[in-house]
Amino acid sequence: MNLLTPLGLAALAALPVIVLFHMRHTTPERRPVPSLRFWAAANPRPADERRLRRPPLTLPLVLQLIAAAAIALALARPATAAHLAALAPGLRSEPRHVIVLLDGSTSMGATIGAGSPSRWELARRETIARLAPLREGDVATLILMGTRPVTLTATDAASLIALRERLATIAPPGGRADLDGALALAGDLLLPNLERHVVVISDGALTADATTVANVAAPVELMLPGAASDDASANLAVVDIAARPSPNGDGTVGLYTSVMNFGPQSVTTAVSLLGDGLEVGRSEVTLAANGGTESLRWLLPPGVAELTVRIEHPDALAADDVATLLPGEAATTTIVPRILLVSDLPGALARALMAVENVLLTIEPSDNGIAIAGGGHDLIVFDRTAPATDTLDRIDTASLWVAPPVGGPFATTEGISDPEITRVRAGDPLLEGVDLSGATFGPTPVFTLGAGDEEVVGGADGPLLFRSEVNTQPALVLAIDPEASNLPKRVAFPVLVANAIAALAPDGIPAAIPLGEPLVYEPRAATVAVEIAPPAGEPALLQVAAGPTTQPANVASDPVSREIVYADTGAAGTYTVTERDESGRDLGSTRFVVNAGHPRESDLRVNAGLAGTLASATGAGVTATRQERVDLWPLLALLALIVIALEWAAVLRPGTRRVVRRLAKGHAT
Amino acid sequence: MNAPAGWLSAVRARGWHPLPGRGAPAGQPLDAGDEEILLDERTLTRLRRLSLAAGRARTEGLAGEHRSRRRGTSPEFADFKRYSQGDDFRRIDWNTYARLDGLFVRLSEVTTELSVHILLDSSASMDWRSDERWPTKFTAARRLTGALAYIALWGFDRIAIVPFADTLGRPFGPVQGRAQVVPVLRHLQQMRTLGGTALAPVIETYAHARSRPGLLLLVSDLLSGEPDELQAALHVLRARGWQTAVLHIVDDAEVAPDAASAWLHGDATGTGSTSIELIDRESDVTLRLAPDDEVVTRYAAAVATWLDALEASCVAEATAYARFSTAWGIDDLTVMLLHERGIVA
Repeated sequence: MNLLTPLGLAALAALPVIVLFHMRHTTPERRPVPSLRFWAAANPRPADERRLRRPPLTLPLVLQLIAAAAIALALARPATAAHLAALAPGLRSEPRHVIVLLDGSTSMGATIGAGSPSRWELARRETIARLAPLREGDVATLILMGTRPVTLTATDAASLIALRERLATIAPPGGRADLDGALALAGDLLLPNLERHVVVISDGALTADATTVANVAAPVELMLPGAASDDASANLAVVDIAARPSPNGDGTVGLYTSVMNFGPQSVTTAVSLLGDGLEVGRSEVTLAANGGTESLRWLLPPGVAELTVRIEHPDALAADDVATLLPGEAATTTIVPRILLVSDLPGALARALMAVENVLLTIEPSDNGIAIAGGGHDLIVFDRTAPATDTLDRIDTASLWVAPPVGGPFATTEGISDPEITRVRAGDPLLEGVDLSGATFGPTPVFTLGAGDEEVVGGADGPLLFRSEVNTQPALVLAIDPEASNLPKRVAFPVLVANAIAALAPDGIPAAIPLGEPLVYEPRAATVAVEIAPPAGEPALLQVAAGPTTQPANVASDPVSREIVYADTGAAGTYTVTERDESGRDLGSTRFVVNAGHPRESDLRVNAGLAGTLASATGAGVTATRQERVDLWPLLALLALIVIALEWAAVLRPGTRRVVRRLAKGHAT
Repeated sequence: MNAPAGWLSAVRARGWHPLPGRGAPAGQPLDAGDEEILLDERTLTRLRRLSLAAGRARTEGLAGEHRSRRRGTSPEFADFKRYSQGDDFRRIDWNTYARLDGLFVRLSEVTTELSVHILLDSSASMDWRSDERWPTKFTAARRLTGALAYIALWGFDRIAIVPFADTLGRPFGPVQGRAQVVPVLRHLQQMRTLGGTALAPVIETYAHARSRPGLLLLVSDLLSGEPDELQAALHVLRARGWQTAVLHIVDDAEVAPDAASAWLHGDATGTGSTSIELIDRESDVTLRLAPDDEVVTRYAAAVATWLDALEASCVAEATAYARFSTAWGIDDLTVMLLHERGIVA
């Protein structure tokens, strides 16, 4: 048995004080008597001559001494060993703060064998077991490590129960676990004046920075409930997939993919390619042990919406055996952009814009500065006109300038020419499907490229089509006047306009993002809500910030940039993004893919140096392994209260007063 | 309580207890408040059967019911005697003369009244009680005085009630006749305590102030002077022809060791005082003492010695002595004690 606060024993000094009080002659009670003659004869020693008397062994004195001793002992906080906890259920010595860093990365989905629970399930059970002994007064903090750490805290008995219940049903966030970030967060969350303990529950496929670990002022314990041998952790993964045009320039598109082996043995396996669910290719690869990589290339079949590469070899983690790609045509933007055409005399350009599918087109004259600078458009097209300077300064979106006038926002030199195309930027997406041969352009101002401008098509005197910036927003300038050119009569013109719209007003959603990485993009100007449906589970509805309004917890949106951040990308698969306008109408939807394969996360092998690194936490040296103790002060306090109650009853009840006197009499005799 | 110990123990052995609520007659007043009725109708009814024993006290007059050696002219025949010169010619029994040829005179029995003097101690020491359940000694004394006065008045005796403290107070009476019962009881009810006590001087003063002795009943707690002084005063009374009875009023806590100990330790707070301060009711002198059993033992011994001396003094002067507890009331126990001590018949 230990005394947690031995200074409390100083309260034992109250015992002699109590005895002195009882020895002291109190102010006598005055009582009239008929005569003092016999009392005077019976009292040879007047009481007031004695300041103190012999300590009376009375019941109140004994009870008061017991109560004072119990209180003093309670103040000293005696604690006994845990095996005596049955004597005082529910009591414990001092509150503790336990921070559990639970690995929720994709690798935790691995299983040791067929039918066995996943590492995540084992880790979750271990976490619940670690939280079970905590009681009222303890603080538990759970940091769920994924790409974005999630913190859950319980500070009382009810919230501890709620935390355990939540933990029983929570899904792994997936992605890559940032142990360093979680440790730094844990170091900041550690509460003072509590016994602190940090537990890392993982599969061991993590790395930690020694400096970060050293800054954690608590012992860090590593638990590996799902750790297995390297053989059991053998894993193959598709770690990269991409579609690129063939470098041969033959116009074909190739599908490139990388496959890695994280096992200790080399593996020969088949890798198949599925196009919209049908096998369109298959290759045999031999992967060297311990990170051997093989790259595969297939010719991308035309018209396929979804391509999937699959490793035909069972391993510990099935999620990264598959990678999906949405080819460019398949991932065509179907979210409608809102385009403003500024034209005083709509002509060929207006007709070309109207011919583009899935476009909301508005036409305004050039003197409507409010409409031009009012925002709400994904693209502004200036048709042979330019706004006033003050209006121009307020444009905050991409713009397409067709035959901008001289003296407009773009610099020109003197002279009008009838240009001929002399330079073309090969392979530029703007020119995809655009055949400019035979096109005449008529009188065209000679523009001067500014810093950062990029010419796409140029003539002898200057650029005819070039990229620039207006108010830091991308701009595309077509120098020729469509009304003076034969270009609008050719099929190249609407294709060029469509390419320009696709380049200037993309939906912003990447075709694929790495596992666990957040999706960050800016929705369409007309979008007020974005619904993102993960491969499994409930879709998330994210509100687009139109101003300084409150956002949902999973939205990190800049009210100025209107960016949407969607972080729940821990599950591999295809995500569908749907945008809605103010009236709730769908503006279209698109998809992006998250693949589980990752050069680091797919490596399921235990980091052998992790335990040693975590052991270097500064708290490990100063805080020994906690000895479970039972604090007895509540029992002593209860005993003191009972004794005080008995003392009161003994004093106040006439029957017990007689007992007290009898005891006193017995003591006197 | 030495005097009634024999018969009192016998009575108690039969389960009878004098304390109210445990055998005392119903309707008997228990408390001693100033406004209470000292004697209720039921008690008075029982007292009508009693009469004061005159003893050697001289009776006089004709109104009373005490039999006299004198012969008179009442209708109650007592004896014949030969006619002698000077006898009332009208009391000659002519029938006897015709039969015996001699003159005989009829003698009738004469009843006389008794002059009863009740000296009621009204000192401050009488205004005390150890327990709220019992009356003060003064109330008990007034109740006993009322009972004796009622007995006397009902027997057509003449009574005078004289309160005293350190001096004699204003007397009530002498009065005679049953019509005086209510005034006497009302007077007793209105009496208040006076101050200190000078028992022996007061008795002697009273004895010298009365030329005709009678029955003197001294109702007091006797907490004044020593027994010797009381004996001297009683001697004066006896020498002057008084028939005297001392009715000693005590509180149980004064004379019984257990009751004294209980009163001493029965503090209000219950926390067990280490000392108490006693205040003399008459002199306001204080005495601080430690209420331990040793003190109680010495106190009880002193009181017992004093009681024995008192009783011996009374016996020496042929004076009836009876000790009454304030807890008793006017009940059978009291009456028996009065009868045993020859105070009532």
